[in-house]
Amino acid sequence: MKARLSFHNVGGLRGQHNFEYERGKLSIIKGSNSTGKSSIIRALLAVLSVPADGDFQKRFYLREAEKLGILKDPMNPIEGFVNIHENVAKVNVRFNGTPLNYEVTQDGSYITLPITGDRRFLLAGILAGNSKISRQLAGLDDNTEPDDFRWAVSELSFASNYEALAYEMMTLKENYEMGKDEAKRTLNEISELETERSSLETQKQQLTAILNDLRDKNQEIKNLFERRQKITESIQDNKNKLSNYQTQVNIANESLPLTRSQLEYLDLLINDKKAQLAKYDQAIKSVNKEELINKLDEQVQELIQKRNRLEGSLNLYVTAQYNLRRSKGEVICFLCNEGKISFDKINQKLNNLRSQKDKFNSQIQSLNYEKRQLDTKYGRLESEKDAIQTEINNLTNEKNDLETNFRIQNSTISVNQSKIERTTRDIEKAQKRRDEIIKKIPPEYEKINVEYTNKEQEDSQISDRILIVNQKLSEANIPLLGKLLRPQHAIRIYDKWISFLAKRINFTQRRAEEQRKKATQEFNQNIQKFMSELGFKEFRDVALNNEYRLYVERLDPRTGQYVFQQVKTLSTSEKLAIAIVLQMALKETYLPSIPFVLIDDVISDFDDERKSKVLNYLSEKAKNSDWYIITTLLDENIENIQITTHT
Amino acid sequence: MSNEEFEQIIDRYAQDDHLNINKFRQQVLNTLKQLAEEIAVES
Repeated sequence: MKARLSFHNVGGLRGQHNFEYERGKLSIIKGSNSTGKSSIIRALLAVLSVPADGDFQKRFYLREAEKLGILKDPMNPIEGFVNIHENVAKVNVRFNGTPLNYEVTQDGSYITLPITGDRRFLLAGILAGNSKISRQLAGLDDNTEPDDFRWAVSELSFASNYEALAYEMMTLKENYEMGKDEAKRTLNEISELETERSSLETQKQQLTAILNDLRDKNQEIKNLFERRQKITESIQDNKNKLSNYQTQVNIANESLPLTRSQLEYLDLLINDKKAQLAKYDQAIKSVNKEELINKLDEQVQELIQKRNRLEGSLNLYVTAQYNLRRSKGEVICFLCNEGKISFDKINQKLNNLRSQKDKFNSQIQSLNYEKRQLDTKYGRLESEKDAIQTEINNLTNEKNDLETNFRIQNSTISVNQSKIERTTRDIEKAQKRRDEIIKKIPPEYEKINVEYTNKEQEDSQISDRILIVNQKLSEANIPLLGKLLRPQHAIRIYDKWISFLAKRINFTQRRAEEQRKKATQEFNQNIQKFMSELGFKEFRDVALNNEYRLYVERLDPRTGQYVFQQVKTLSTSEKLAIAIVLQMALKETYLPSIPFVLIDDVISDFDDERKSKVLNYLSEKAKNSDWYIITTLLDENIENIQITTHT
Repeated sequence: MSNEEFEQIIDRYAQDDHLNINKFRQQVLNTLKQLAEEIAVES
């Protein structure tokens, strides 16, 4: 079965190139320098190793991809995967009926990715002058000692994944340990703050006792001063009162005669007004107002009746006059049917009657006027009488007030005089008390006061500090899980987390170690197998030790004994031999299912005998494993690339 | 989550060719959060 490789613009090979490889065979790409042998290997390497998502995941693999020319090497940007004159490189390989395609641009952007690419192929599938094993054995790998093959059992097995998980958890654990330390520090701070607070409270208690003591002393003195002050103030107050009392007595004494004469005058006035009132009373009583009014009313009523009767006659005559308005001369009276009447007579009669009525009306008006006059006159008398009475009342009230005032003045004099006597006594007593108090005030009063003030300030400072300490204590929290927790709680959580992570880290590291051991065992078995198959008798016990260091026992031709030899001291030829064994062992251990092994720029460095031995072995291995083993071989006699199958 | 369950999770993540470390971190953090909540309940 053949694998068909076709590619465009890879490395030094511009344009389209097609090659075929036999499965189960060793294919040898021959050519002189710069014919593009390595570009063919690189094309195959890319399509077999670039992951399906283009993500190499780890710097470790990215570095290998750069070193092997899959990705643009920052150290060697000119020698890229895509031919320097083109923008896109394309690779297609078809085997087992499955096409793998890879297309990438000059700037490294992927267009098409191979669906089964495995990044581990960079380590396990290719042996080249710049592949990991070659670089390391040659001492050209900056990151690894020549005999350090830990990567071979970590990166290619799941051990590196376990290590990555363990590292992740260790990072978290370290963070939590730092968090716990912080919480502990905070707890210590709390402890210190509580101690300080306790000490401050003790100090405060002591100070309070001192202050109480001083305050007692001070208070006593203060009390004395206050009492002295109060007494002084009361003396002054009493003196003021005394003065006030005296003033009031003087005023009262001065106003008493005036009040007395005012009272006498008021008595005269009242008596006079009372005499006037009596006269009015007499005047009002002398004429019977009601009787006069009634008489006038009777006269008016009489006149009104006369007038009404006259009006009745008047109406009759008016009617008669109306009836006679067309009659001329005298006619029989239609009222009595006897006498004679005429319009003129009736008219004359009407005039008389109207004249009488006017007279009645005038008399009625006159009587009514007289009546109103009488009413007014008596009303004025009554009103004047009332005014005099009001005046008498007012004067009486004024007199009463004056009498009250007079009594008050007398009383004021009496009361104030007694107050003066009492206050004078009080002042004398107070002055005596004050003298006694002054005697009690100690001379060191100022000293005690200063001490008290100082202690008071100290107490205030301690109180302020206690406030600050309490504030700090209330703020001594640990931010965790989006909350502020008390340090004890945070420490419990951190402890739980650290314990949890420590157990899982331990488990994960154990798993990683198991993976490494298992890989090492398998790897060492494969090394022994390939060593035996290759017939490299000069080596014995080529294997990784417990520390994943490559252990090599080499036959010393001088003694015929196998001796331990450090990898870095092996000859180039010996390193090449070891490299091919290790590479095949890696492939066998980790990627037996990918039927490709690529070897570039290595076989040519063997001497002819070993070259032949190696090629034969690889041919046999390809056949036995049904792999495509493809190697380049320098042949300066071949100008253009030739691909042959080793037989 | 039991010890065994969490160890199975570790194995599952580690034995995936495509190790998703961010997802694993989130898984761990969620588990730790649950532990913290258990402490809160206990106390």
